[in-house]
Amino acid sequence: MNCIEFRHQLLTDPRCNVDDFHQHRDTCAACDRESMQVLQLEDKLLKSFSVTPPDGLKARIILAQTLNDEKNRGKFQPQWLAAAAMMVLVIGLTGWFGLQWTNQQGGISNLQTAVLNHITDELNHLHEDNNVQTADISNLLAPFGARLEGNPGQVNYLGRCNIRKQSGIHLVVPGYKGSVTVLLMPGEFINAAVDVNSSRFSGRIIPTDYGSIAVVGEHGEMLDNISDNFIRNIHWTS
Amino acid sequence: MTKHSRQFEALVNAHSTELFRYAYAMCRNRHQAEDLVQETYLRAWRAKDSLRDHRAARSWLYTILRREFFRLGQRTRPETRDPAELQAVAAVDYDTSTEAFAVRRAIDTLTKEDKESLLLQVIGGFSCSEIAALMESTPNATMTRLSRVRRKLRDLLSGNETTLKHEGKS
Repeated sequence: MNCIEFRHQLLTDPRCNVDDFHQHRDTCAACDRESMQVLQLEDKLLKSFSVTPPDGLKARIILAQTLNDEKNRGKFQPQWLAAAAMMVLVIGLTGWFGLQWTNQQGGISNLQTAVLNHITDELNHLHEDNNVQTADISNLLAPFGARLEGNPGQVNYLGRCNIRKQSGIHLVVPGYKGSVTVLLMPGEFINAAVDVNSSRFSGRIIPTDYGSIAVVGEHGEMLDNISDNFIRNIHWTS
Repeated sequence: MTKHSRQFEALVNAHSTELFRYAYAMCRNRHQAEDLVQETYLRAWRAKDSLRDHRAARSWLYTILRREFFRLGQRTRPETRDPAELQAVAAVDYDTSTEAFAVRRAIDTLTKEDKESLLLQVIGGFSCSEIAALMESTPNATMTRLSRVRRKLRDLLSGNETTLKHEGKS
């Protein structure tokens, strides 16, 4: 970085945190002086508007939010409407729960099959060794509204995939007996963990806040640590 | 308390002070700044489902605040903005030094866009790319604008210092 570039950068973003910028300032006395002057101006600017917020501002914001909710509840739920809604609800729920239970049993069974089919269809991923970086995992998680909050350990394959028309994330990690497949399946909600088994693989589908996670390896593989690791280290915000 | 309410409270605790400072710097009226921040959070709460990525919450709040400020500008006639406000806030931890006054006066001479870009960087701490996204501009145009604004401010303030020195001597 030369003096002209430095001074342009200085006026554009005086608190720039680029190595070249710092290196030039440390080696050029004239630019160092210029930098001091601009930073003094920055401090003056900041100080000029460091006004203290009114007392109780935060409390008033939260109160306004609460009152807004109360108002909306009052607007849409007069007593007679609530009573009528309750009757419809009681009648409807009986039928709905029956239907959901039937659908869910079929749905879970389908999900188990879909998971095993997906792994079998993409067996090649079990032999990949891409040494996936945590930044790549974070980048893939971001569009799902999820973020990595810890070290997921070694990951040999990472990709986006579709399972039952839902978009999810396919990972392969090393296990004791061979490669283990981890499928993050947002939107695939189940009530309780279920086992998946085929002639070669076994594993579990575990419910999570965002849907479910499938962890499947060779028969006899130790999967608990792997599933715990991914459930603990990935935070879903939506 | 629901998950949404907890998140909302965290957003209030994390950003309401800087939003108030930004609002105040833009409108220079303490009561209007408070109204702007309250309205910003209320709109954010009502539209909470539209926020998909919570890491973007801060710039989302600034976007809402900017819109509210422009609505306020359309509703409020310039003369209703309180010029005596500076005196009123003097008692509540506000820099009333001659230097700070000169800085604020110099900022008032900037165009709306120049002032906003500068305040988003100085108070909001946003990068040029983020400011460009907030102001629907390009990073290069924002960089040029910020460079020009700082040069102008420096000239204005050095002229002001010279004036003050002359006044002190005479």
